[in-house]
Amino acid sequence: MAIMRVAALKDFRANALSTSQNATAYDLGPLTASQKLVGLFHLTGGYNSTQRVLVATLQGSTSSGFGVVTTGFTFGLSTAVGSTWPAPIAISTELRYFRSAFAMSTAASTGGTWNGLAGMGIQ
Amino acid sequence: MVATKILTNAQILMGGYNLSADFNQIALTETVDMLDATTFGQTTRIYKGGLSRIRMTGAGLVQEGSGLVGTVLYAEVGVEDEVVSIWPDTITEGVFTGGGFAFKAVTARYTPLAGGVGELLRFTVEAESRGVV
Repeated sequence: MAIMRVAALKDFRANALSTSQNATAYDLGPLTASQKLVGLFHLTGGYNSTQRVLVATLQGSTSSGFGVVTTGFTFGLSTAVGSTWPAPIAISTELRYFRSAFAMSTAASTGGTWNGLAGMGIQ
Repeated sequence: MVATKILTNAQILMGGYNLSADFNQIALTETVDMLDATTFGQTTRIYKGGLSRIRMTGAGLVQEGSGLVGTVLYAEVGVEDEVVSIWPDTITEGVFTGGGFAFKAVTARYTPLAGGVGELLRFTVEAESRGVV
């Protein structure tokens, strides 16, 4: 295991997330056939309630407009601070643009904010 | 012009905590075991690279209280699979070059009390790679 270089996809440590959104897409690919995508997620401040849940994903696309989206990871953290780094995955070598996306359920509540950092690496 | 960098605003995230403002020293090292593969007939030592490891060492100023560095690091010792990411100078989205370094860690050592008379109370911490990606 080597130290992994990582790129931040969304730094929301200072400016908390309160609404669902697709973060800015960045040209960080493509991966070669032998490479794998690594996702990391720090949740440094979480809305501690089960009434509203944050679902964070790491997505890739062949175009900056994200016409067709491939979801690489869904991060499990949602209501408590912590970190996660799921097992690396192989993805299509056609994917070039990557972004993080955040969906917040509003079925039971519309309150709450989250702070943290989403990023990716290439193994 | 040489693209040197002055370390003034390193960002240090351990698990669910942004501890950047608590550290004043940080180092990240990757090593491999050097296996001695020397056999008879050689005139120099022959080495082969073995297993790798990553180690983060850092130091800073102690603050105690809920969610503060002293309490956080005390609880981190021995916890496996915490994500540690270190960014040399702020965090810029969308770049690998000038971006950060990360590994899955277990905090191996925490010294919650260090310093001399008249000095600010310091801590030191070491985290090692878990060996899994």
